[in-house]
Parts: sequence; structure tokens; C-alpha cells
Amino acid sequence: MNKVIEISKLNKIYTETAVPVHAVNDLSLSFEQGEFAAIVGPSGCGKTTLLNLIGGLDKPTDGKILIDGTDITTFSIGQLTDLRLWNIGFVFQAYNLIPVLTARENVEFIMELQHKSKAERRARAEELLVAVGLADRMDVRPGRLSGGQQQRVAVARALASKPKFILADEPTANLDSSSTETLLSIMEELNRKEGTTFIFSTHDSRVMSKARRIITLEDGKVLSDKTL
Amino acid sequence: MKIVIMAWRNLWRNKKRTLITAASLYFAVVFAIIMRSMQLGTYDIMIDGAVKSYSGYIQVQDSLYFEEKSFDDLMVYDSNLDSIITSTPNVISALPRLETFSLASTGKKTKGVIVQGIVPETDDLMTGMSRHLQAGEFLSADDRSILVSNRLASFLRVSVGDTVVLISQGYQGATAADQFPIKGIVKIPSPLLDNKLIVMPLALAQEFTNAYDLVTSVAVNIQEKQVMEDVWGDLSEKLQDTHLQVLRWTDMDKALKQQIESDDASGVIMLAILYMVIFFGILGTIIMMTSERLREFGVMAAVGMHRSRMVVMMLLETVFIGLLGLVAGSITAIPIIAYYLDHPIRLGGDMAEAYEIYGVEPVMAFSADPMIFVNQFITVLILMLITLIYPVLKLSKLNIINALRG
Repeated sequence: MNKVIEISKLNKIYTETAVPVHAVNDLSLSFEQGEFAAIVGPSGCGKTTLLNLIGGLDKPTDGKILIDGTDITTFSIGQLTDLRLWNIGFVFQAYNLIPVLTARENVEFIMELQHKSKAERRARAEELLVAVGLADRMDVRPGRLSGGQQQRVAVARALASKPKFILADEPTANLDSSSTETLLSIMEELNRKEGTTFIFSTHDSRVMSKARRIITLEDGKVLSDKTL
Repeated sequence: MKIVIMAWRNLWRNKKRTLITAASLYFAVVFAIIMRSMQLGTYDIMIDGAVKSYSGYIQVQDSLYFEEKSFDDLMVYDSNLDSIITSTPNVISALPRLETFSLASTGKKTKGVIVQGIVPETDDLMTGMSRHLQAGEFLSADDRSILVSNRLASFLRVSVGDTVVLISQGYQGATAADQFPIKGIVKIPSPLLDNKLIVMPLALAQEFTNAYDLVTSVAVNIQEKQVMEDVWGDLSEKLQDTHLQVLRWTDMDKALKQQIESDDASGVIMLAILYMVIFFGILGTIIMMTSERLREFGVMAAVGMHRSRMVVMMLLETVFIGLLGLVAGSITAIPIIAYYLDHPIRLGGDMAEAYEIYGVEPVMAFSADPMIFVNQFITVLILMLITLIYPVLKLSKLNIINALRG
């Protein structure tokens, strides 16, 4: 299958702390199109740092990250912004929707940054919000949505730009079990339907049970990598 | 388009703060517009009193006369000079004048006065002197009588029909002395001039001073004061190879010019202090609006929004706040100014006396010059742009990871 992400000998050392922290340690990995993978491990093992590096939110100390064969570690801030806009969807633990926009507008927001037509934005936003079960909450602002509903909007937003892959950092950490179940089913369904690669970092056993590949990290290194 | 909607909605996330900031701007704008309107209106009164109703905005004089003010340095006013002046764009007419100093006596009282010879019909079109007649009639060209300014008449205790004796120096050392009946009493807007002006027909003044066909100056009646510099430039070019000099009112009445400039400067300093205070208030709001949304900016950057677009969004937010204050302030100030344009504040008591000491009519008038509003808009928008430096710096250094951690 087509490799979307190839990571080789990646290191991230935080030197701002009193003692330098080697958050990602000589790590090599790759992800293929359509994967539904979970990155697991104890707190501080480097899950979030790895996702941040793959997402171009942070710069590695050394090593390479190839997205569709292009090394992004040499990209400028502007290039990384464009990379994220056109290739990567994000789902954050704290939802992080834009509070002054409605659910529909939040989903349309990224497509507007991509200069897509109003009709195209509207159709795609409605399609995704229906898919995540929020057909009747499209014109509601995040403040009036529950945590589960907000995270579903966040998933719809992440998929809106038709990215190559979605990075989800502890997406269910703030959700109750019912909301978690719903969200995971929706993400599984969208992964199958849209063929988008999903990469999670998680502690949640319910998320792990849905993943088709589980990568376990410890001290910034890959401890195990199992395809189920 | 969404960025505009987001900017607008962001303003109302904290309604009280936005309204307080806009209100501080509103009061500053109302105060600034009314104060500037009053200042400029009062300057117009001062200039009209001293310039429009007396010297004119532009005069042509003999170069030596302007420097020495000697009655021997007069100039010839002929049809050639008249056509040079009147053919200049924006010039309505040329007003020849003969002016000298004299002693005026009525037997019991004597006072030093300015005697001004004019062509009554054309001069009146610029000065509007006939509208200020208090008693008697206005002059005509062949009259052998005079107009006396109102306060001078009170001092000399004369009225229409009485006779005033004038003693002065005539052209080239001749003695000028004669008596003239009073045809009218006229109120001159400038209190300083109202205390010492006697006006007579030009021909009579030339006869009185033995200065036939000669004048001390030619006042140039222009379309409006805004064209003064253009007319001055054109006329100066036309007369550059002659012994004549073209003067603006600011060249002729330096004291008035300096008085206006110093008062204007103090007004501008006061407004600068006011705007400085307002600026820090707005800056505080912008700092808060930026700091409390760093996480949001982090999210926007993470999902692919360029920082330049975030700056544009902040720019729109600051412009919206500025426009709220500016538009509301202007809407409030306009009817106030409109009322006082028709009802200028006439001062009394000590304040009026203080104005008169400086030779200014004791009236606080208002101006409706559109530039007053334009200047406030430009000032406020510049202030708003300066406050943007903070978010621009903050966003340029935005660390997405730290911002997302909140």
C-alpha cells in the first residue's frame, strides 16, 4: 500500500528544562493510506510529541519525516501551515472549536482557508455533520453543545479539507463512555468511507479495541508495533 | 468574508469591554470635534474680523511701502495693474486703497486714527461694511463725507451730520488738513479697528493727501480663502519683475498669525494628551483580546490559518472598535456644531474684555470644516494601527504547542 508518512531516526530533545528531556528517541515508523492506528504508552512516553512532530506543529532535533515522500523537517513556518491546511486534520483533546462560529461554520472554516466555493463548503459541511449525527445542531455555537457533540464537530472539521491523514491527540479523554463509543463508531465509519488515515494517541482501552494497529511507545522509542 | 464575521463576533464576546473602549473613544471624538470646531470657528471670526473686513487675504503693495510704511512710497494704480490682477484665476476684483495715519479731532476730543480711502461699491462687496452700518448711510464714490467706526464715534462723541477735523501728512511732505461731515457710523468686526477707523471715498482721500492717482495698496478680493495660496503664487509670478510685492494676510498681520498658531498648537497638544490617554485604554483592550485568545490562535495556526490572516482579523476588530467610537462621536457632534453654527456663543463680562484687548470680536463661533472630522478619523485609525503592533509581535512569535496547552 501507499506510504503516507515515513519517519526515520527521529529525535526530539527538549533543552529548555533543567535536565534535557529526550521525548522522541531515534524513532522510525511509517503509516499507510487508510490506517486506523493507535499510539499508546504511559504518560511522558512521547505520544503527543510524536503527533506534534508529524503534524508539523513542532520541529524535531534531528531525523526525517516524509509526507508523501517530501521531507517536512526543513519546511518554513508558512510551508508547514500550508502542509497542515491541505494534508492534515487535527482532533484535539480539548475539542478547540472556534467559539464564535457555529458547528457548520467551524467545519466550513478550513475549506474557506482553502478558498473553496460557498456551495462546495456548505455541501461538505452538511454531509460531514450529518455523518457525525449533528444534522439538527448545525447552527449552534460550541458553547451550547455537549463535550461529545463538540468532539464530533471537531472530527467533522478535521475531515472537511479531505486531508491525507488525521492526527487525534487523546480524542476521547474528556468524553463519557457513551460519547466515546459514538465518536469511535463515527471515526471508524469515516475511515472506511473516506479512506482517510487516522492516527490516535490514547490511554483509552476502548479506543485501542477499535484500532487496527497499535504502536506502543516507551521513553520515546517504539516498544512494540502490532497490526491486528 | 468569514474573517470579517469572526472579527465582528469576537468584539461581542466581551460586550462590556468593547462598549467601554468604544465609549472612551466616543467621548474623546465628541470632545475633539467640538473643541476643534470651536477653535477653527473662532479663528475664522478673528481672520474675518481683521482680514476679510479690512486688509483682504491678499494685497499688492510697493516693496518699499511694505518695509518702511512711508507715505512717499506709494504706487500707481492704473488699468494695466487692474487687468493683471483681475485676470488672475479665482480673483473677483481689485480694490485700490489709500491709507494713512491721522489725528482726528472734534474740538473736545482728539485721537490717532487710520484713514482709509476706498472705492465704496467694489470694496463693500468684499468687506460687507454697509451691512454693519449703525447710523446714517453708506458712502458713494463721489461723496465728500466720511464713515466713522462705532467705538471711535463714541470716543469722539460724534454722530451722523457732525464734522471731524483730520490732520495728517500728505504725499511728499505736504500737509493734509481738512474737515469732513460724517455720513455714517459703522461697526467694524475687529474691536481694535473699531476704535480707530475712518473711511472715505478713494478720490477724496487722494485729494486730502495730495496723492492723486496713487494708492498705498490694492486689496485682492478672492473667491474663497482656500484659494489664497494659489492666487498669491499666480500674482507673485506675474509681478515678479516689478517693484510691487504680493502679500498674504499672514505676511501683513504676523501678530494675528502667531496668535492663531500658538492657540492652535495649545489645542493640538491638549488633544494629543487626550488621545494619548485613550490610546493606552485601547492598547489595554487589544492586549487582553490577544492574550486571552492565544489558545484559539494556536488552534487556527494548527488547522492551517496563516498568521497574516490572524493579523488581518485583529486589524478588523480594532477598526470596528475605532469606527464605533468615531461614527457615534461624529453623529453626536454634528447636531451640536450645527446648532452653534447658527447660534455662536457671544461672550460677556471680563472674558469679552480680554478678547477685545487682543482685538478680537468676543464671540465663540464654530466651524463645519469637513477636515475636522477627517482629521479625527485619521488620528483614531492611526492610533488603532499602532495598537496592532502588540498582536503582530505576539502572533509572529506564536508557539503553537504552548498556545494549545493554554
